[in-house]
Amino acid sequence: MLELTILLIAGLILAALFVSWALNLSAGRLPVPPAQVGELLHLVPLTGLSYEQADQLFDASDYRYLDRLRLHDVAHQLERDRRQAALLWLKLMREDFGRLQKFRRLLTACGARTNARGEGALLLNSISFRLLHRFLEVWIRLFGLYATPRVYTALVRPAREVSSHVACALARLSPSQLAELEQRWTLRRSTT
Amino acid sequence: MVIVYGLWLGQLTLETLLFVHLLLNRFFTRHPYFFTYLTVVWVASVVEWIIYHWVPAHYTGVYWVSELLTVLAGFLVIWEIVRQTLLPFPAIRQLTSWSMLALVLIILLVNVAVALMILIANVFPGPSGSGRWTDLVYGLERWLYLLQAALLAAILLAVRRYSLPLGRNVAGLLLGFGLFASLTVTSVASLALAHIDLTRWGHLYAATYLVTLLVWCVTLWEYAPNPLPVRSDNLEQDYARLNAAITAALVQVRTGLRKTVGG
Repeated sequence: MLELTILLIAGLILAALFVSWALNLSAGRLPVPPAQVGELLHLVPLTGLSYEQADQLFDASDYRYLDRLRLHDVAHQLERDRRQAALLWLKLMREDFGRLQKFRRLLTACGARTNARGEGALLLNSISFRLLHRFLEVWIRLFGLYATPRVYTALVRPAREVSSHVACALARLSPSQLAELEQRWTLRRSTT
Repeated sequence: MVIVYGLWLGQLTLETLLFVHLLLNRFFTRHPYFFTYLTVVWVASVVEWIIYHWVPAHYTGVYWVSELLTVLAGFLVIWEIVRQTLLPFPAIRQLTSWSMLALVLIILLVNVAVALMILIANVFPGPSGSGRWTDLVYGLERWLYLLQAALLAAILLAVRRYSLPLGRNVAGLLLGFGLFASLTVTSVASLALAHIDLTRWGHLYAATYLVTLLVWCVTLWEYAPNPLPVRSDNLEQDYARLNAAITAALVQVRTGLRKTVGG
């Protein structure tokens, strides 16, 4: 009985791993034309997401090195500054994600095609982003930047997936739809 | 009965189609281990088919021996995936090859022993012997499938951890066989837990294998070489670090021993 239960649980976990990988594979096959990424960044400024050195904010090696050299004060000051910078970056990421979601809603209103699978993936990405964002924010405030790089990677992934999805949807719009979208988006940004 | 027969027929048709296609396209030079696996499985399926229709009295014995052979041949698929994925890392590939060879040899010995027992039980059937062998084979088979699924999951995690690129062919092999092994374990365990006659798991097995064959037909129809990794530093660095740590530990042990013996 115990042997069978262990086998069942292990089999289910492994099957779930392969199924989720298969889903990621098929989602990752969507090509994102570089021109459309440029177009998206032109329309929707993604300050946090396009900051390429964000991973270094979560890297603790330099102030640990200072700490080992017994430059404790300098190390602590660096850690505090880094923590503030990381919190600022998290705020920018939250704003980027909100802006991406608003833009996506407008895309759909302008005629971009959607399907149940895409919507499901977006919903999952949105939930995981919000949960991880909140967790990372609380963690940094409470404990600092220790053990955060993995969460950082996990946080960036759903945001990148949503932006790729939006860029792909943008690529499929007709010129008239694109013109309408640009007009409505500019109007919305000027009013908010 | 019609569903089971239909699944079996579909499985045999797809297997034959894939085998002939890969043979004509000389896949045996590109993915030799996978091709050997497919050959073993295809021959076993054809033999089972013939025995079932012309010599049904011997079908059970042949079925279980071919089952054990195909489970064992499954390690060839895993080896093909490892070989293709680790092609640019000769040191790690060598280490993995020796570990896998040792593992397969142990399993081979166990499998041969069980196959012999089945054959003997089939040729000289005792009053209550057959149930015992069947249970033994079921038990062995489900643990072997779990081992294969776990090995494939480890490969998948390593691929993701070190951002190793997977070509269409290798990705198809990994996905198809990973799904097959993990779903087989799940279905066998759930049937046994629900006290459903285990001989009925053939339907689930056939359905899962059919899905795997479909995945392979789609992903292996055209040859796609595995791309070389752009960033391979992490894997080699990790390996070098592990190697250095082991060497340092061995030096420390040797020094300690010398001191102890000398003192």
